[in-house]
Amino acid sequence: MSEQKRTFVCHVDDLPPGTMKFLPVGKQGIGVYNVKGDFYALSNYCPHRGAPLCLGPVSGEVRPGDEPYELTWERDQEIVRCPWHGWEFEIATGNALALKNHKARSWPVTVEDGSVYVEGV
Amino acid sequence: MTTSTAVRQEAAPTVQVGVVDCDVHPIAPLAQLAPYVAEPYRTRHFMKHLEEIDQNASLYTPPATTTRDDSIPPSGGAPGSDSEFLRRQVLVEAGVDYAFLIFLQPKTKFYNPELDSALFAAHNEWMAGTWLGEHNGHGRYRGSIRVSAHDPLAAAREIDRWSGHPYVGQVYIVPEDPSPLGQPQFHPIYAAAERAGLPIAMHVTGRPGMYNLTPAGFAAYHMETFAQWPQYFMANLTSLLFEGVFEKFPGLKMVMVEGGFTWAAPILWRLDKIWERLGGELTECPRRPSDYVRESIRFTTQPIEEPQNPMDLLKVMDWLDATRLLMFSSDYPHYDFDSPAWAKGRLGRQRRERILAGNALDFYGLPAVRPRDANDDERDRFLANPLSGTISLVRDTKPRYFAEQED
Amino acid sequence: MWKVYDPMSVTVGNESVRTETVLGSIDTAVHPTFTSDAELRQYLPRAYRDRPFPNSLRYLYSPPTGVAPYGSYSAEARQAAGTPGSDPELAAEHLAAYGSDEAILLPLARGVLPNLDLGTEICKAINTWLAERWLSAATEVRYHGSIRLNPLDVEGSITELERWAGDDRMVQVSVPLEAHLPYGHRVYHRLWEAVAASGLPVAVRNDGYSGASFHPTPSGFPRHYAEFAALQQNNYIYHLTSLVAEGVFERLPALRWVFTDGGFDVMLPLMWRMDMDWPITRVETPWVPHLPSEYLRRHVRFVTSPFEGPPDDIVDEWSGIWDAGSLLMYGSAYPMWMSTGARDILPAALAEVRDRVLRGTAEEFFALRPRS
Repeated sequence: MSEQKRTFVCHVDDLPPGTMKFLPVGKQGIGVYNVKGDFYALSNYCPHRGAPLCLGPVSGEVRPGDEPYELTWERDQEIVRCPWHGWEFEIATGNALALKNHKARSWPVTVEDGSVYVEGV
Repeated sequence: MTTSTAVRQEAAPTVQVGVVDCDVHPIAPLAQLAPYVAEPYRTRHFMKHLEEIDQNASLYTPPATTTRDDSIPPSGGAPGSDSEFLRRQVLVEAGVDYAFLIFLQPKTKFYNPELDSALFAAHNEWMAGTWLGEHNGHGRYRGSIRVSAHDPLAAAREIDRWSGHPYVGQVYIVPEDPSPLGQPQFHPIYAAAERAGLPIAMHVTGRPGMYNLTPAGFAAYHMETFAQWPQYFMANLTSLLFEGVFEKFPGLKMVMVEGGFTWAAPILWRLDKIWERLGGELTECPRRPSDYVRESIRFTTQPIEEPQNPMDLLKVMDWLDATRLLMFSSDYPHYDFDSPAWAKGRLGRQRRERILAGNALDFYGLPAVRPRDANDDERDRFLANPLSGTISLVRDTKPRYFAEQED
Repeated sequence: MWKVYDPMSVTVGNESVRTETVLGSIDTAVHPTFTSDAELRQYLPRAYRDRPFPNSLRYLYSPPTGVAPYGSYSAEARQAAGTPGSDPELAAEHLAAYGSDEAILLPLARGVLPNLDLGTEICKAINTWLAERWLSAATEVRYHGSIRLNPLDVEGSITELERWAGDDRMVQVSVPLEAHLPYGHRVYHRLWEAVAASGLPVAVRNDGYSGASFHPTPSGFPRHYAEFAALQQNNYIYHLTSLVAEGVFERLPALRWVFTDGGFDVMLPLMWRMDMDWPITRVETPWVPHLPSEYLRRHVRFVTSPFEGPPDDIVDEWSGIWDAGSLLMYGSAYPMWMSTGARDILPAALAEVRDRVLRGTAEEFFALRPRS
């Protein structure tokens, strides 16, 4: 049944790369992201302590470099950081970067005839 | 305590208190305090160029942000600066019945205790007129007056001055002090607090400088200091007990705010054993240390630890007798905020009522039933449609950091 | 053959059992003393021998002598002539009565000395003395040694460590709890690299307040010895959190630490806080890929303290959550005033937990081999 359900988000031109559209559905809402041309939908509920996840900034990941104490910046604009405690999640999957057993709920997003839809809600 | 339902039909409607938040942080802008600062300090320090005075620096901060991203008010000011927005997020969305306001800024600087005293007296005066006055028509805020512990006689006078104020709920001092706070030079503060019937709250400020020096040198990273902070509370707890502060001031009450609580039972076991073996030196402390704690000291919840097995947390709470000694706190609007709804699920069914409200009601002498007010109506509407909350303020916008990156 | 510890044979509080039963415990914290300051000076190079320097007594926070604990040393140890704890044979008798048949000797040094070369020379003298005077003695209890190092002097300490390479009487290195920078800091890295290569754990021990030490608590100087005795052992947390945060355990997977002053009772609550902060602030330290508490079993052990631990009725719950059977090792602190026999350690705990605490964990951690 839920396979059939879909919710119109916006015209694709209104969701350019690097932006998020907030979809006020359900109790928490859903954030629909355009990450470098790919579309993803995440629950606006942080699995850590229930914060409105999609209100957090979109960012990248700090990773260790080859040398001790060296830092690198990777996956720019692919990570959302929770607005409360700062936990980071991969927008594409909802997976927490730190603790893999924490995952934000996500839905497929489709684009048809210039319109963006979240599937299953 | 009555367990009747939330709203009574006859007479004025009332609400059963469900959540007392012992740690909420509004901001006191220096420019607003300046006119209240007594001479000679106002002329000397606070007449102009106030933006050149740093009252709020931190040495160890979480790398992302110190406050919730969604606590920035639509007015654009700092989190905690907009009374309307704070009211909305704390009383309406978090569902707090009574909030204890602790202003961390301006921070204690210690190098001139009299200057600290003057600034804190100004803060208290300003707070009474604003957050405990014009913003407190609902009567749900309790303020923490600030005193400079290193100017103890002035601190005692300041406490006397606020004694009996209906919305002054406690006195706030910082535990990262150059001297353990049980020592006799601080006793005038405790005598005054006992006289006034005001509990004393301790809360870490994380200010810069020499007093961040640990017994093993300076830490490098935030996550070290976060684990180390309870040490300030353990050291002061030991000092207060072994110096006999609660023996000398049996009516004095203290609350350790945001210092953790899972260490408390183990450290009390330890202090009792030390006292049994070494009590001959501790002539001011004739009773078992943990006895004083049960009568006089409380701990707050936030940030609630996250053991891999959540059941472990409940067991450790029971070791502390948390249904008596632990009080809920959210730390709004800081990044490590615990919402009452989330905390409720972590505290366990038998404990949550006492921890969320009952213990604080008893400790602070607050009524368990309060008048229903407009915030309650607003909360009912919010619960019916959570997406109408402050979430809606940022709906359909770019996440705020995008703009900064692209410009 | 090892004597097998049988918890059923122990009657808690029975003095006759206390002195007669041999438990076969390993005592991981014994602090042998010099008969006099002159004995140490014999082992110093001539150029240092006449130099004034702090003695081994505590300048700040000397224990009271007129009320408990009645000075620095236990009443039992005072039965000996000379400085308590200075006679290898007598100490062995006492330790055997405590229930141990092996003991790890950790002599106190002089803390952090501002003159780095003097600090290192004192460590070297202590090590030579320990090997000659204690580790060569034929005693009832089998002694193992510690190599004292001065971590402020990284190069000097590496040289001293090399001097003992291959001497399997030495089972650990030892450094002061007091420090000017916590031990995870990169200034120490070459030293820990050498220690990790040696396979020896690093024992951290409060070295007395006679050196260039900072305040004993983060909130300043308490007024009572009892406060000092209740709090100073907590200072390991500054080293432990530093070692985790700086990624030392990641870069040196073989490096192991044992904190010998106690403080195990508050360790997990503090590490839970570090665990809680790790997903939040790991952008500062992305070289730490695991939850901080996950490093404990592999890298860290604690020595028992008689002041720590739960009431008997929750000891099982406590030792389970706290992982006492993996992380805690018995140490008597002989001949100090708080000296404690093996049978007074967690008396109500399950037998398998006590077996681990009194012997099993230490046997594995120090890779102790049966006496030939």
